[in-house]
Amino acid sequence: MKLRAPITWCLLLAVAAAGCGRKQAVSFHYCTDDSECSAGRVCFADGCGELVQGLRIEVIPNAREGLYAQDFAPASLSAREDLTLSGASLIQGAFQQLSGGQPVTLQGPVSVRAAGESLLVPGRSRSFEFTSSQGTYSLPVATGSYSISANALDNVLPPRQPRTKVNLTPGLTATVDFLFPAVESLTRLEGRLLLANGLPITEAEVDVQALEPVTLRPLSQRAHASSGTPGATGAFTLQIEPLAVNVLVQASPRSADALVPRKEFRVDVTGSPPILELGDFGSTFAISGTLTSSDGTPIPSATIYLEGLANGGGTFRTASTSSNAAGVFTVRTLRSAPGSQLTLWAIPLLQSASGILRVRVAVIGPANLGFFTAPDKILVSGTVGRLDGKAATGIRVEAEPVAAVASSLSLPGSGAYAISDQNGEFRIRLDPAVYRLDFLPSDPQLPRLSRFVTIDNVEDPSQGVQIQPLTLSSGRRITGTVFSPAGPTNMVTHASIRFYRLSTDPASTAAVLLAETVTDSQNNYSVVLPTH
Amino acid sequence: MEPVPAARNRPPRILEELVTPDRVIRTNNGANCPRLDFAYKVEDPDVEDNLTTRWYIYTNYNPNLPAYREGQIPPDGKTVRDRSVTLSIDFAAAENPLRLEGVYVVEGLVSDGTLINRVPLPRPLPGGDSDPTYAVSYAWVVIVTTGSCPQ
Repeated sequence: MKLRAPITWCLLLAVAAAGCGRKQAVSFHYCTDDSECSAGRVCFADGCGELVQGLRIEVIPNAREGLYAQDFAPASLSAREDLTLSGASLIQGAFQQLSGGQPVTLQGPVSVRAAGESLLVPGRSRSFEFTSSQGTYSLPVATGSYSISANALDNVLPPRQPRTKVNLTPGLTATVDFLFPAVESLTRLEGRLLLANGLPITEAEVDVQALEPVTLRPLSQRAHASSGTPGATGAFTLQIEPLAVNVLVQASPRSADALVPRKEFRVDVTGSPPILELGDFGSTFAISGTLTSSDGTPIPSATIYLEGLANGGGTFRTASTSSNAAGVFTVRTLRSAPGSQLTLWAIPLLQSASGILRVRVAVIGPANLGFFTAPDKILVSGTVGRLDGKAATGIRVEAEPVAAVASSLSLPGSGAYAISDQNGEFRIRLDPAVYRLDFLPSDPQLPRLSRFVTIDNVEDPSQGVQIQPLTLSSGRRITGTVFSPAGPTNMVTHASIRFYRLSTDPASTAAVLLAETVTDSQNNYSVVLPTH
Repeated sequence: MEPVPAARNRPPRILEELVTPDRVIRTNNGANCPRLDFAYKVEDPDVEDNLTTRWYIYTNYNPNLPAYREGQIPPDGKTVRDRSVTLSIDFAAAENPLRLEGVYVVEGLVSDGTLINRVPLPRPLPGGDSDPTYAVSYAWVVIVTTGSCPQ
C-alpha cells in the first residue's frame, strides 16, 4: 500500500495534467470529409453536396486585350467540358450636358467607372475605369452586375451615378448615357469650415464634399476649403446636384499625414450660408508605450495606430507606426474627446505568436501609457491524411479570415499559412475569427479542399485547439478546350480558368475556389476536382 | 572536347494578360467597401524552380521595405503555374495597409532565387561558378479616398 499510494497519486496527477493540457476539440462548420457524405456526394466547405450543384466556372481570356472574365454555370459536368467564350462585354455611352434645355456633347475629360461583382460567382468583385475626352466611351468589362459612375475631371459638375445597376452577360453591350446638368442649374452652396470660435484651420488642407445622406452617393465634387495656410478663411463653394435640399457635407483632410478630424454635417442648402465647425480638436502630440507578449517579451515590428473621437465631434485615425526591438512605440495623435477614449490597435507581424490587441485608452496629452500586453494567438493544430490512410505531407494550409467573432470584433488580415509535416500535422497560430481553411496539395492529382471553422472561446489558449483529422478527397480530372469568340484563336492561350462552388454558409457567402489552371498553347485545360 | 555547358537558369515572367484588377484602382476606405483582390499568374520555363512571391505596399519606394506578405509557388510540372499569386485587402480588417487616404503602390514580386531585400542571389554551381536568379514585379496604383462606399 505504501508503494501504491504514490503511484496512484502520480497517475491522478498525470491524468489531471493531461486533462489541463488537453487541446480543445474544434469541428468544422459542416462535414469533415467525404466519409460523412453519401455516395456521389462530396464534403464541401458548406456541407455534403453534388459536385455540379452550385458549380461555377470563371474564364479570363486575356485581360490585356480587354477580354475580361466570363462566367459559366454548367447544368451538368462530364469528363470533358469545353467552354465557348463570347465576345467582350462592353458598357458604352455618351457624356452630355444640358445647355439651354438641350443635351449637347460634354467637353473635356470624363472618367467612367464600373464597380460591382460577378453575377454567377458571389464575392468576385470587379471594377473597371476609363477616361475619355471624346464625349463618348466604350469600356470593356467582365460579366457582372455593376454600379456605373461618371466624373467630369476638369469642372465643377457633380458626379453622375445612376441608381440602377447594369447586368452584363457574356458578349452583351449595355448602353449607359450620362446627362450632366447645366452649370447654371446647380445649387451653389457657399459656407465656411472653421475650428471652434470662428478660427480658421491653418495646420492642414481640408476638402469638403456633399453626399446624399442615406446612400452616401456624391452630390458634388470634392472642393477645397480655404485652409492650411496662415491666411486661410475657411471659405468653400460646392456646386451641388439640382433639387438636392438636405445634404451631408463631409470634411476630411487632404493628406493622410494630417491629423485633422473628419466630420460630417447635415446642411439645408436652401438656408443661410453654413458655418461648419470642426471644433477645438487641439494640436498633435506624441504618446508612447511598450508592447509585450503575455510572457513579457517585447514585440518588435508590430503595427500601432489610434483612432476615435476628437474634441469637437470629428473622428480621426493616426498614421501607423512600428514598435522597435524593445517593443517601444511612439504615435502622434490628437487628444480624445472629453468623456471618450481612443482605440489603440496593435497588430503584431503575421508570424508572431501574439495576436491583435485592441484596447481603449484615455489620451489627454503627451504621456507614456505604459505596457500593453497583446493576447496570444490560438495555436490551431490538425492532421491531414490521404485516402490510403497515409499522412498527407507538404499540404499548404491557408487560413482566410471571413468574419469577426463576438469575443474579438476585429477581422484579422489574411495571409497566415502552414505546411503539413511528415505526419500530416499542421500548426498555425490564429487570432479569434471565422476562417476558411484551404488545403492545397502539392500533388497535382489531388484536389484542393476548403472548410469553415470558428476559432473562438478557447478555454486554454496556451494549449490551443485541435481540429478533427481531415482526409483529402479523391480527384476527378476534367479537361476541355476553351474556344475563343470570333477573332484570332490565340486570344485564349493562357486563359485563366477557375472552378468555384457557391457557399451557403452564413458566415461567408463568397464562392469557394475548387480548382484553377491556365490553358496551354492549344487552348486546352485540365483541372482536378473533388469526387466521392 | 569541351563539356556541354550546364543549362542556365531562365527568369520567371508575370503574365500581364492575366493580371487582375486593372492597373489603376480608385476606392474609398470605409469598412463597407468591397475588398480588393489582386492576382497574377507566373510562367517559368524552369518547371522545377520553387518561386518566392512577395507583396509590397508603399507610398514612397524604399528598396529596404519589408514585404507585407510572402509566399511560395511550388513546382507543379507546368511552365505556367496553375496557382495564382493573390493578395486580398479587406477594408473591414484591423490590419489594412490601405486604411488611410492616399496614393499607394501595391507591388507583386516573384523570384526564382533567394532574395535579400529585393535582390535575387546567384545560385552557386559546382566548380565555383554561379548561376544568376531573377526577380520580376508588377505594380498597381491604388488611390484611396476617405469615406464609406455608396450603398
